[in-house]
Amino acid sequence: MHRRKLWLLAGVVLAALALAATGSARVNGPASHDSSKAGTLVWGAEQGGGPDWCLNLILDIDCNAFWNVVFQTPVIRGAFLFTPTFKYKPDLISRYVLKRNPQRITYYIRAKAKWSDGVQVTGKDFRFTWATALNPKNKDHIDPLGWEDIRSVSGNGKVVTVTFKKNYAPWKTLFGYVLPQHALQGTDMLTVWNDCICNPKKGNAPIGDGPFLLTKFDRGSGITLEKNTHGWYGKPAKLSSVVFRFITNTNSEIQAIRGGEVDAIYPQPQLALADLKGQAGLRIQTHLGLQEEHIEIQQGAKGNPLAKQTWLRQALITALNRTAAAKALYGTLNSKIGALNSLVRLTNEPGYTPHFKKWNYNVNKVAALMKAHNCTKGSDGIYSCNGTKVSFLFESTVGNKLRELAFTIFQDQAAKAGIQLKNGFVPAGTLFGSHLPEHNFDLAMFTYVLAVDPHYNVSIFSCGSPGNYGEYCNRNVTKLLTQSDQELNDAKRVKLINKADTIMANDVPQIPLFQRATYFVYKSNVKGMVDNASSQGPSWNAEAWSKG
Amino acid sequence: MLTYIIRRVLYSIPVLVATSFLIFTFVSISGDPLGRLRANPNITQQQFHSIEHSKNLDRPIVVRYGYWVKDAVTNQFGTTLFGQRKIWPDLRRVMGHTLQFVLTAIILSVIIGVSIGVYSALRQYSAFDYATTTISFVGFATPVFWLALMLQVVVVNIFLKWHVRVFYTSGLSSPFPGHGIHWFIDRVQHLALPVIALCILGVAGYSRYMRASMLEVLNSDFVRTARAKGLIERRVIMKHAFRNALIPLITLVALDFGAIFAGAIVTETIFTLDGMGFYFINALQASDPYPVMAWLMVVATMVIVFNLIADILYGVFDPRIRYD
Repeated sequence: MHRRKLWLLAGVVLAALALAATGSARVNGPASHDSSKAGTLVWGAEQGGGPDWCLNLILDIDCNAFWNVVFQTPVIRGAFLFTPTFKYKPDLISRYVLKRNPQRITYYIRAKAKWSDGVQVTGKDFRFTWATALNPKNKDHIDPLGWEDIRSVSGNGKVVTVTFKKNYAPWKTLFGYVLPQHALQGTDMLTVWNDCICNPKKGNAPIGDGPFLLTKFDRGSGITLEKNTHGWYGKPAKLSSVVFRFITNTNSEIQAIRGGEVDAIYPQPQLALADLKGQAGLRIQTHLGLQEEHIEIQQGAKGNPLAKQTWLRQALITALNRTAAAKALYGTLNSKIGALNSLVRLTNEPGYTPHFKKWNYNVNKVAALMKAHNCTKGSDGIYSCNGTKVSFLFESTVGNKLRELAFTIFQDQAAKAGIQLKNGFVPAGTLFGSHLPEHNFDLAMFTYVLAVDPHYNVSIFSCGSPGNYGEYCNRNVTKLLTQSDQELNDAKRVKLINKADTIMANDVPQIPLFQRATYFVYKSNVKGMVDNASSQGPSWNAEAWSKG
Repeated sequence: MLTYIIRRVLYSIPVLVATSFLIFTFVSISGDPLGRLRANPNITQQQFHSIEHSKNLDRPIVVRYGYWVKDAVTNQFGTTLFGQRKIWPDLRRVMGHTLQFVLTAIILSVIIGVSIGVYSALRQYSAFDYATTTISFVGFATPVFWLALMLQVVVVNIFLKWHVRVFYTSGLSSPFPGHGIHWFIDRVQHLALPVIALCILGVAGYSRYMRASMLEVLNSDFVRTARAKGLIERRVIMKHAFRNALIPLITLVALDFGAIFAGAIVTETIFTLDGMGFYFINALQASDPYPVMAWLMVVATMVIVFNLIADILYGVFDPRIRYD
């Protein structure tokens, strides 16, 4: 009798669990889409919601993260938008007029550009944004680069004129995030938008001038955008809401899209993603992104002294088959990937010229260079030049499988050419926290997350610049890049930086490897998705998304 | 007993202080919270030093520890390094989430583990006993992360094959989970896999422990006496053997609770549950020592408290144990 009672109890418990578990099991679709919220698109977001996460993108030192831009592009607009073709497209403005001597830009704000509470977007918002960027209270939280070159912002209506103190070529990067002056004037910018994009003067009601409003930020869980029913200057959004669920583990992201729990993911490229190619009901877009993988060569006192010699750096780049490595690493994800052959432009940017193409893999050329400089091969097959072994400690970030594979490939290639690469992988904190800024490395492989505007080259390659980890110094290159930062004509600007690249293609201060691909996976019933591999991210046209 | 409790609490204070200093030191030297700034080529050295100074990161560790203690005591652990977010509200939120799934996992583990352990002891060397022993060892040997990933794959494959959503593979709830019973069912569906992952390990441990404890008690004199007195077997087992065999398990569960409350870091990371473990990983990745310290202090306190509870419970359930 007692045993029967025990079995009965066990059966009841199991039945209750099964009922609870399957009680709302849906057929043919995830239960994540409440029928009353038809037209909801769910994203798996790889970043977001940690204790430090803040939403206010004007605080670019604290809050600048790729996924923050993705969350907020549909909510807070800027003067320009980066398109998938890596071009600037007027967004909040309908047009602009650029005048020189002094540099003056007149922005014509769209007549229909307005905040969700009905207040028009005007020059006051532009001026407030500029003032916020230069407010001494915010100085440790906002990079003043560019903002401090502005002399004045005038105009309270739909026409606003920005006058510069001196020519500033990357001016289009400014006002990428225009703040609502009427809502935020007088508030503490360091905390007001930590947890919401809202108007603190109206009970923290969501505010925005895009197709969506950020209505909910569940730290640790996700962000919800709902359609801006008050209208904006573009086409009304087709979806009623977009939900970004934080799924920071790539394997979990893959399972979530396979299982239909999310409608789209935009993960960092990994080999495991190749499995999604064969799955029915999914579409994949992949493009070359703004992340440039490269090898930094230390020419200062803390590196291998041989690296100071131009011919040695030329031998090093010739010893590596960059195209084969790119294909081995990313070929299954993106068949178009190949070697990057410029240090100043990416393959899909205007003005890209493959100056480094002359350094194709050629073991014989390496041998010729070594011989010409009295280097001899040892019994281990590695060259020595005047008593110094051609051996480098190769650093990168430990735990990154693709980088470890890349190193293995390069090590093998270099060894065949008589150059030794030793594994010096360290934690990311060590590499970025001390070895790079202290210039304490031989070779370091890492990724630059670049911008569409080529201004970053000045910091990376100019003599003595903080971003110049390899201590490369060529006065002509520095002069050309500095000039490019003041050249307002885009074509002339590109010409200047390409001239610098021609010199660097001979000096080889770094070895450009490849651009990492973006990998955009979404359900086939989702329409309107167009990948944007620039820093704008895939939500650039969120108003056009719909579900079939 | 009261004296004992007070003494234990007082002993814990220097332990907590020493632990906090050691942890602060290790966390501060293990990562660079300004690493991402260093990697930004647009940040000048002057800006960098200014930021470093404003966040007191250019001070010696002892001084920085002092600032942290002041914030922890007077300002509920203060704010994060970047973003200036208050730490305590976030910690309170994630503690609640972790409690939901850890408590469920422990309760289920105990119920199932105890049942299996008792039956295995009563049917020693039977097919059931051998089977559960084998499964227990497999459970011990299986890494939680592998189990979690496999559970996700299995659930997704079920969905793809039969188009039936049994459980969800990540998150605490759906974007619009509804209210009342709908919310509850949605939460159960999301927590099921992490609970199963933790349960398997828990059941393996508790069943073995309960079996051993039960066998020891079944062979003791007082049980033999009870049988000799003519009591029916069910009464001997449930009233005499089982209760006594349960005592060490109660203390084990109390100790485990304190440890598992640290958030089952791996499980929460894989299932992206907004709990203690996930909070810790995010803070560690950001190299922000302040939320990491707050987390560690909460966990250290929980471990100390539950150790104390375990000792007290042992004394409560076993009258032979006296504390003074």
